[in-house]
Amino acid sequence: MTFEKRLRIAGLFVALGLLIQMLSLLPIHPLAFIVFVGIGAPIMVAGVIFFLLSLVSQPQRSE
Amino acid sequence: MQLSITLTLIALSLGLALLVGFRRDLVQSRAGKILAFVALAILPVLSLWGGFEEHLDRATSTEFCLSCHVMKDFGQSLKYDDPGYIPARHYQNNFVPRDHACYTCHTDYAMFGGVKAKIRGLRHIYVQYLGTIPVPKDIKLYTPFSNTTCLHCHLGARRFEEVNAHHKTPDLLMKVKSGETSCISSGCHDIVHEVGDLKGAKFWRESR
Repeated sequence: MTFEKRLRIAGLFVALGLLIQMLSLLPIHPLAFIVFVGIGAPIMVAGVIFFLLSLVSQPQRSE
Repeated sequence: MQLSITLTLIALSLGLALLVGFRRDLVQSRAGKILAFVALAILPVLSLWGGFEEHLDRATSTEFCLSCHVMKDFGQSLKYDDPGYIPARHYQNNFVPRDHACYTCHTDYAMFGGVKAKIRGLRHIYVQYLGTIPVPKDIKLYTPFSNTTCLHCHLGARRFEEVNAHHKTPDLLMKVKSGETSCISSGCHDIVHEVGDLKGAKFWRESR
């Protein structure tokens, strides 16, 4: 997998996680907190970790 | 961190994450790689921290506590038009901040008091959505109400120290301060939320 493709996947995960986090901040309700911690944060953290791993691994050179 | 700042930070992170993810040419240069690192590692972590802090802060608000249906009666009990009800008296006279009324009296002020309250809150969410919801009048405290919560504000106050009722016996005040005599379960201030009294009760109309 090329570095650019990994970057795109990481960007998607981070963006999706952030979007969920942002939406969870709109209502004041316990479920919003659960959505933030249980869905938004893990997706975003997965994206960040995927990005960091792609930095330290040896990706194929893109054309 | 203010909500507007947190939301702006998240929106900025989101935009940048999409930008560096989908603009291939952007990350070819050294500056682009640094931007990718900021967009996909630093800003998201900052956003997460800001959002988490905002959620924790919200969890202390009265609106948050009363957002579960089962707590509605307890919220209503804050508006009894009768000063004999301790929570109503505190709420209506601003003895506790109205927007943080529940948290002020139901969090102990010892070390990790806030953490314990959050853990209890998670349990409440579990019961609300996955457990059996009790009827409001059956909801009881996990442990007897601690005097330290009352003393957090009342200790040293002239009204508390000098009121005749607190000197009925020479050692009463000392026993209250040490927690030996409970403010509530001793029977002196035992009229609290009493949600069973809501039917037919008269309520105070809050002016904004």
